[in-house]
Amino acid sequence: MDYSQFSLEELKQARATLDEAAYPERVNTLDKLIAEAEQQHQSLDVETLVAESGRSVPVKFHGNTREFFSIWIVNLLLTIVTLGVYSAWAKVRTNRYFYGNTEIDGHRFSYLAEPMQILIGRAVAVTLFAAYFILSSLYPLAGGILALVLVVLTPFFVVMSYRFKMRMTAYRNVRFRFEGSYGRAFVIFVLLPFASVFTLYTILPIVLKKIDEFILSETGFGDRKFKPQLSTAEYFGTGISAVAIGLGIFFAGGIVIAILVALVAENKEAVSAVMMLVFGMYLIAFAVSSGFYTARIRNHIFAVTELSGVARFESQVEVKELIWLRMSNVLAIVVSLGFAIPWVKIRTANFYAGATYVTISNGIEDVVDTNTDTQGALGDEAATLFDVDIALG
Amino acid sequence: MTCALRDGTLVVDDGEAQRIYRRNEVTVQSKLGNLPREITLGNGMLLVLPGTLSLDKWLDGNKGGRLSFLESNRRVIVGSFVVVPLLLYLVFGKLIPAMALHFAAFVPMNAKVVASEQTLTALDYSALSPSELSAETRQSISQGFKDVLRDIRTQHQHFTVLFRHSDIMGPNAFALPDGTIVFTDQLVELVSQNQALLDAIFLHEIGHVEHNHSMQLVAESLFATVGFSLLFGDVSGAVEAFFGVGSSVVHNKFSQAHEWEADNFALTTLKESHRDPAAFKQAMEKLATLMSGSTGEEMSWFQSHPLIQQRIENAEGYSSTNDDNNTD
Repeated sequence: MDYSQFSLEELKQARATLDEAAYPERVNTLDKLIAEAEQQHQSLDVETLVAESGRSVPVKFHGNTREFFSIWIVNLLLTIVTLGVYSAWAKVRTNRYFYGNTEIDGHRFSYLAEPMQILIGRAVAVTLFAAYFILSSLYPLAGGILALVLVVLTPFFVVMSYRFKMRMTAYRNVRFRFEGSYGRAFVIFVLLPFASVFTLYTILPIVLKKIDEFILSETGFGDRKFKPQLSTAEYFGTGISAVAIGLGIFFAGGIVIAILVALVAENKEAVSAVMMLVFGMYLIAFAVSSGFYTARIRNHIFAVTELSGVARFESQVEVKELIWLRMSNVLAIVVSLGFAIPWVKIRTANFYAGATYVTISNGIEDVVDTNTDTQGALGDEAATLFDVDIALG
Repeated sequence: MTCALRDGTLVVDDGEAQRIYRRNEVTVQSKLGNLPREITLGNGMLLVLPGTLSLDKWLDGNKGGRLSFLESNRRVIVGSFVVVPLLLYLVFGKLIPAMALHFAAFVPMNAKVVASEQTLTALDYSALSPSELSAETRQSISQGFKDVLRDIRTQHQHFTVLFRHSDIMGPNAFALPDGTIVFTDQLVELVSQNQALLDAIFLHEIGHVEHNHSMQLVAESLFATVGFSLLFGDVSGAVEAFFGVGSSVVHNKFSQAHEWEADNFALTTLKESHRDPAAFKQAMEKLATLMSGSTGEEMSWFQSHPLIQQRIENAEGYSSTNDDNNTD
């Protein structure tokens, strides 16, 4: 009997109806053929899947602490010597280093800002901040009014800052962009948070979701836009759990500390040592609950966001690992008196890159072609007066 | 597509056509670490090439990228290790206080008056209530202060003394930049209305006004905050919390330095006006007794003040030199 022309289905049927005792050698042949056919079938499945949805690639980060430490310390040195002016150049070099060392699918990101743009933004930010600081310290009443003005201005700065950041980011010679409007930003960053105060913060998860949604859905790459489909339930679940975790740590820690205080109440120095414990516990509670929130929400956002027709994303940040990363980062910086900052930054970039995957579909070639040709994506676009990032950091 | 350097030009061959670029026909960002070089060609095309020695030389000329040179020079890096902390100390420990001193001197008097009035109004509204001391007590204490002012020489012309009751502040005295000095009833009672002790505290507060400390602190906080942001502002997340602590430590150092200055002003003027510097020490000791049994609220007033024990010792130093003078 020749089974070689049988399909997988026919093979399986033949195997089921075969008289095993009568034809033992046929059983062997059939089993072997079925196994081979199944394997082939599976790999075909995978291939069609890849062809349809693109290739999943890891995000690679190539920076190393040694190299970045040198860049960082020279930045610091020149910033101090120039009384802050060089900080604009320092920021550009730092960002270029991190963007340029982040690779997806064989291409690296570019940071395109000119130091002058950063410097102007900083000059404006320092002036505004100084005016606010001096006025509010000298004239508390005027300061209150000024604070209100700043509240109205904040969404404006946020929108400008995102717009700048996105326009200065490019991948494969195509710029990102951010098109959020001021009005919408005012609602999202001022009105909603304000309203959440009156609901005793119960709608805070919705506010946080709206913020993430606003930023993502207004961000684009070339002529494509990000499409987030965030789940309100996920934000509520994560938010409530994060608060519960924080409170739990406080409660448990509070009991331990209360017992300690009772034990050492006589000794004044011991009491102040216990007070340090309270501060430490606060930091731990904050680190654990914020780490939990960040990891969960990041994974969620990446899972449900798509760059239409170009890419899908996946984030696999482990809550435990993120909490450890953050706590050890702070510890390292404190113990090293700040010298560990470059190590911390490289390590953090490595951590997030390692937990991120991107599935790129062939649609990206269209985006790259059209956007490079039509606008000269990296070509000089008229820099407007507001093409600056008004920020101190 | 192949790229090659030939006769001082960059030759780009995409299989169909060959294009030749001179150095001045392309733009490139400065060399940074081992990042691939991103070369923008005349037509807006971006060419990404690994930074080989010959390419770097073609792009950056013989002198090389100056910043990149600094960043890869071992001696510069090791030197920075020592120089950066030293410079940070100089900037935050010396330069900023010195700049603040100049800034404070620029604040016109009427600005200080308005600032003081508004601050007092805000405090009266929130933390202070009218004094419950008898009019005679207040009168006699104020008279004592007038005697002090008559005996010393100050740059600042007008000092006004006010009394307030405050459960929130507890035993406290503070000076506003226009020379208004506020004593709480609780402080007057703590020193059992002892005029000598109150004089010592009064002189401490005058010291703050004479040195223009409140204006200095505004400037110092401002400069330090901006400085911290410019230097470390890009450190994100949890690390930022640490730098929040860092800048408040700096802030505390500034106000501690001011306390020492005010202490020494009080001790010197006590001596110059032929009063006993020991009064200051006694006042500190009164405050110290408060601290030993202290909880929360009373502690808070002292947090920006140097360790009270050190201040007592400092005051003792003045008393003993005084004794020496007497025996001489």
